Amino acid sequence: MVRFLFQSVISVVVTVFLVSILLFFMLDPSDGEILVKILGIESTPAQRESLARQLGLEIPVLQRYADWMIGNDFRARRLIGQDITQLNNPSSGDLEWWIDQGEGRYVQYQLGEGGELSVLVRNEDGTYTAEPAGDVWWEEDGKEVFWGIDDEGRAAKWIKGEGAIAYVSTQTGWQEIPGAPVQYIPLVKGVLRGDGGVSLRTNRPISNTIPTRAANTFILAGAAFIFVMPLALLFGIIAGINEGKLIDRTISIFGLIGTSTPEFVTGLILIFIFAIQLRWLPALAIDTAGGGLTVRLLTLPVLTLTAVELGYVIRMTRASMVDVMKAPYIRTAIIKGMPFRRVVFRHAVRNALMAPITIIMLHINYFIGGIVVVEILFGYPGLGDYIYKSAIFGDVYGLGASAIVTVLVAISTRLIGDLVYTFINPRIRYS
Amino acid sequence: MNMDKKFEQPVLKLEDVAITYKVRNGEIDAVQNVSFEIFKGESHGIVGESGCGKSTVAWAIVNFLGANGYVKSGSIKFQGQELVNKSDEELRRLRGDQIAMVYQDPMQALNPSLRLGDQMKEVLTVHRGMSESEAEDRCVDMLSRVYMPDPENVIKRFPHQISGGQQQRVVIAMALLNNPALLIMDEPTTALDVTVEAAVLDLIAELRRDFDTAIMYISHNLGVVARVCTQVGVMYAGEMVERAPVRDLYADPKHPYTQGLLRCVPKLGGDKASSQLYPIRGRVPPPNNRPSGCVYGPRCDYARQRCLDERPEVRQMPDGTSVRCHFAEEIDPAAWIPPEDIKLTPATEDVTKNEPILIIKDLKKYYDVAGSSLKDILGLGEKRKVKAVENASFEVPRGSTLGIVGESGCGKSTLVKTIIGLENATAGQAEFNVEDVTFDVTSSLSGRDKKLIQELQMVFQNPDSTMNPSYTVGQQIGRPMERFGTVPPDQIRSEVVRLLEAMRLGENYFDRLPRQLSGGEKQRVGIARALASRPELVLCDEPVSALDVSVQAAILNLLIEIQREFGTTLLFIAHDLSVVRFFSDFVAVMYLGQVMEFGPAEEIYQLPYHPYTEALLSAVPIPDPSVTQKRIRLEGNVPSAISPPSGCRFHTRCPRRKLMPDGGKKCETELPPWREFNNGHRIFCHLPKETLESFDPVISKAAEPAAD
Amino acid sequence: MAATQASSPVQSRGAKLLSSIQSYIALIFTSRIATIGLAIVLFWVVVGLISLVWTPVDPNASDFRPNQPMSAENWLGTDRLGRDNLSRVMAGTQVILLKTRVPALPLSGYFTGLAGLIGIVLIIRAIPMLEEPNQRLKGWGNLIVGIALIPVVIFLNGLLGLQAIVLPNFVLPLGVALWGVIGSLSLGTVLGLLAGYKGGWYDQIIMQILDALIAFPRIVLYLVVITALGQGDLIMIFAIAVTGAPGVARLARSQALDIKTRDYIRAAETRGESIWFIMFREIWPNAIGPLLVDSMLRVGYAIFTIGTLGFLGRGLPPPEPDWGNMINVARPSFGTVPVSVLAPAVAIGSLVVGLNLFVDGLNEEITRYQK
Repeated sequence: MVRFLFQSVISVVVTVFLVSILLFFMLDPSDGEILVKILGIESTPAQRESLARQLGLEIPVLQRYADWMIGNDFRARRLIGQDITQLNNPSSGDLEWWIDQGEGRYVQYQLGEGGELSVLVRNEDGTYTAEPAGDVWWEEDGKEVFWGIDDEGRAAKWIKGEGAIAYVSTQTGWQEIPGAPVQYIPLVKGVLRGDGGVSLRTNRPISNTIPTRAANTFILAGAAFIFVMPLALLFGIIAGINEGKLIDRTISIFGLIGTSTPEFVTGLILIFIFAIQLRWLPALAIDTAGGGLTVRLLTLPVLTLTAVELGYVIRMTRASMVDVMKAPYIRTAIIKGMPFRRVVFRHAVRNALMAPITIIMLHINYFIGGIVVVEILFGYPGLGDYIYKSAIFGDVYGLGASAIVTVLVAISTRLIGDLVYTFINPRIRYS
Repeated sequence: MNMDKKFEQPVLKLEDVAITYKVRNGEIDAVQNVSFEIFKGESHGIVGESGCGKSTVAWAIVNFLGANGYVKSGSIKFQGQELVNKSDEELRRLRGDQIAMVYQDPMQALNPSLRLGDQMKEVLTVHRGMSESEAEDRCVDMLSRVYMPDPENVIKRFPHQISGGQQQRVVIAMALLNNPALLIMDEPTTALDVTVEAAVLDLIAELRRDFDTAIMYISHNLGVVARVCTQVGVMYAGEMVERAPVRDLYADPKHPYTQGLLRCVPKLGGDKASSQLYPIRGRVPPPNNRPSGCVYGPRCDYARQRCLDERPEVRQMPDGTSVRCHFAEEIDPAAWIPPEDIKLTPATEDVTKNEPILIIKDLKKYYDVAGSSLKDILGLGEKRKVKAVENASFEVPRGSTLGIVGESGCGKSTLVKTIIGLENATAGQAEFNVEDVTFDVTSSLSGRDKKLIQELQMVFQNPDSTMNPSYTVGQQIGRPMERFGTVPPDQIRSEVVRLLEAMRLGENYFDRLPRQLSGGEKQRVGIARALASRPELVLCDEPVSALDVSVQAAILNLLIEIQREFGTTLLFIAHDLSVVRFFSDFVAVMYLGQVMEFGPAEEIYQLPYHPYTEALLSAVPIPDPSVTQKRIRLEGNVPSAISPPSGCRFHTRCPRRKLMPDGGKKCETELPPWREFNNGHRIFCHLPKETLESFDPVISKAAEPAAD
Repeated sequence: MAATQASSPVQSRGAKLLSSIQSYIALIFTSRIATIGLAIVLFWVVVGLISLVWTPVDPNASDFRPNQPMSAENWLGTDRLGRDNLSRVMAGTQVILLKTRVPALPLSGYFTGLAGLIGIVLIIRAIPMLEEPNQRLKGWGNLIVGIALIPVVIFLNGLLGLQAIVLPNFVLPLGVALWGVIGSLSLGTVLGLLAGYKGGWYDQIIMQILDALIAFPRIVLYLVVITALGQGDLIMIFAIAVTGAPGVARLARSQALDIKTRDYIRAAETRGESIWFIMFREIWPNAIGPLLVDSMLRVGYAIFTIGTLGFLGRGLPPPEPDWGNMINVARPSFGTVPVSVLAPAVAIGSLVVGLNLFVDGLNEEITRYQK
């Protein structure tokens, strides 16, 4: 048993590692296509090059992978030569990187129009006051350079008199900023430390968005789960002990139709009936009135998920129940003269539920996939919607981080499934 | 006693029972016109080959024929009350209370996720309304009654935590809890090893006496039935063809089928030089295609026109046996003359003096075992090994047969697999004298010379998995010829046909697929495939143990014939001692990875014995109720091969250890010496030669030569 | 004589195949569910075939009357661009089931792809050889050639100027869903049989990598792949093949684990047969049945997925109509012209449900038949 658990845990760790490699290299923006996608095809090569530099893409790829996984703040700290720290910006609620100069003085740097460096000293409310920085430059390869944190919270390297041109997208269009740093390190603590960097789409830290999104998804998934499981197990057992009879056929076929219909088809049909024709329920699960998530809002999404999942779990439970009812020990119980109810509940159900638990836990991936679709269909502000929007925009950082979260959820439920299985199966527990 | 019965009501009485299964296109009559009765304290055996409807009768009694089976006609009376068409609820009350059942494979019969105590207790709480604690006490009592060690502890365990023999004891105890009037046992010892089987059979006989239960005992094994039953019914193709008291049945079988069956099994002590097995020709007809006359007619040596035209009725013979045969009075088994086509050509030379073809020296096979503590997983713990084969050394003369016997887990299969190269040995040498190759048994198959691979071939146990279901017979036999290039490609077909004919199969089998063959035919093809590359040595891993006795006899004859024709050397693994004795020239007895005794077959089965061989011989069921065996039973379970007992591996269970001077201290610490006897017979034991020679013979009639 | 010898098994094999096909057809019709499922699937296949030669209107032509409801002229209304929905629903079967559009690619792309494939085969071949002492040299040879092949071919491509030669885009028979499933079946079977038969480290490594793929919620993996590689029929096939392969491999592995315990595998081993012989000649023919049934289900999943991605606006590229995409385009006007959304939605739903009913019914009959 110890061995089994140990193997499960090792497997989870290796899986996460492999998944992270796969995600990072598939979603590596340095090949340029993703930059074009973000900036649009009208963008100039100079603009793309500037964005690439701001994203730190000239850093070797393995280094970037390590940064993405375990962070680069310690590397930046060494380059800057001062302590850096993350502080909460009260107006946006986001964490920002500052140089910690001690005694409550936190600073960032900015290169002014004239080429002189200003130091931005943080005030209590998160705003800053600019002061001349003085001569902070040091000598490197015959040039005067300086590493600090710029006003966007990135580690940046300036060279005196050699300002690069940065392009920044603002609401009025593209803005050329001269005198920008020549090299950037977008500061990140790494996925393993719970920081996936800054979203390309929203320009806000991903780790700020994901928890609220995930909480919303959890509510939806939990509601569906609570709804589906008891019903499905009940129907599955009923169908299983009546194998081949009319009630079994009916349950099985409805289950099959439910699972094999794509979520969006089911959802659209439900919307058509309940929202468009009958006008009982809203077609979107977006909280517009500010009243929070209500049962009314959640009904259609939960129903859609139920239709798909119910059938699957029923089929698994039924198959397992049918198998168990044919087992010799059930024959023993009947020949022992046990009443049928006792045979079913005492001898069959427990054995029959063992197999579906692991299968159902494996199925969690499909379930998450279904949630993604349902969230998009109903505009529900969950993690799935975030993944989708990131994918559409080409926000590789947002997509990567949120995909890792879904993978973590999937494999940890699988692990839980294994644990539960180990616990309820005496053959493993006592070996 | 026979007189009393007339006034007594039988516990179970079947009259003219016919059982039918509904299938997709029509009905299949599984069982027809079966009648018999069982009285209190009587043990009624039902024997027959697979598919003859033995179990179906049992299921019909408890009305558990599945959704598509039903009793078509006849009556089943239990203590005078009719069971056919009884309501489910009434039947349920009888089952487990008045009628109990024990069947094969106890592991499957017990619920894996309930504690043994809970499974036993519910029989009492449901049927008798007993309280939990009272029921528990009774369960513990019953477990100790069936000689289960440590019963208080056992009831808290799960089925997988105890051994197969113990599981069967639990099932038997569970069946006896309510002191049932009728106990139905369906092959209860078939899945068990011979020494465990012997202990369980002892138990059954004892319980029958003590509880005065009527027992219906179903088995395919004539020896087992001879040991536990008082009455025996022989079933064939859904009919009961003969019914008689056990001694009469074996001494004076009336029905030709019963006679045929008894001629198929080797007598313990018989060997292939002095006797022969006579298989019954043809095969059992499938239930949907039974002959209209006597069901046995097409296979019967005495069949006349009347047998093919008219179905015989059951007739009571003067001595009380009932037989379903038109001419039972006229048939004298002693006057039977075997048909020419099943007679074997006698052996012409004595192969036992040939030079050895295979010499095995100090062969060891250890497996690594995965530990389960955290230390083991991290690779820090001490590596533990299963010592599957320890220092095996022997020689096999060219053209002879070496039989290897032992109970499951004794390492006999591993030994053979290692020789052929399916497993790499841990240490040891082998010499193969055809080409004077000394090959390293530690090398894998791919490391071996192609010529050597060709010379060693194998025949397998399970007929259903010996052939690849996707290829025809011809393709599978032809493949070794193609691979080793022993036959030019354009002659492969004719060579395959020649082999098929040697297997008595014929050319029309060439294009058949395995699913169109019977078990015996598949086994013949398996033998043909092994012979296709013209090997010098064929290793047979229990080639007949999954077959019915009549088919088994035919396959053994085939192997003997092949050996006499091609001079092939055979290594023959089996757990059936009579078969090994009959078939082998030399025998090696293995226990827990160690060869305990080695020598010519006739020496092994006579004094002196190794104490383990003695126990085996005492346990083997003999199909002759007149033979008496000394009762020697081994205590405890086979120890784990991971940490086998020190010194002599058998010392923990050895019944003869007390004969050692100091109570056998030496057996625990020192490896025994090989004691040498006549003709290369050697025994691995600390007991001095004189002591070993002073034992009594186990089987009292064994000294006589075989009757036929 | 030789001729009759050669032909008789062939003939009998042909006859056997025919009779086994007949028995399967008979099996389908014994199950009412399978028959209904098959009817639905065949309906869509026929509709697709008809749409290749005839549709009421050109599915891509606009009549400049957008968002029309159902009428005698446009039975299922028109979409946002005024295209006939009925024609588009009919033609929507093509990309899924009947044709795959291969875009214009430089010749070098094909060469490199082919070389990569050969390289992978060589590397896979090399692995078992390395384990066997007398084949070790050959194994290393294979491994080195396999690894070297790809850069060499890329270099040769540059040298020969194959970049410049661009093959025009063309159409392959069979749709994206089918090719995707064929891809996952081949990839999964090879990996699964290898893992199952060889066991040990092969098993650990192969299954660990596949586990990592399985760990992804499927839709998320598709979104990642498509975000990274873009949209296209070939990319969709790749995505379906890669996401499906782990499931196939698991099944193939369990089959191999079961079959390898059979004695005929021991017999092959005692003949000293190679791993590939045992895997593909001894195990594969007996494992393929359940894998094929599973693959039919996978076609259903693939259609399901293509539809879902189309609905998300990340499906098969235009201009050919794709059901999921039609829904995506029509959704903003769901309230006013529901038919534009519901028609393709019902099409996808019915095709997937039909396939599932068919496979489920067939499977039930097969298992009953085996008993």
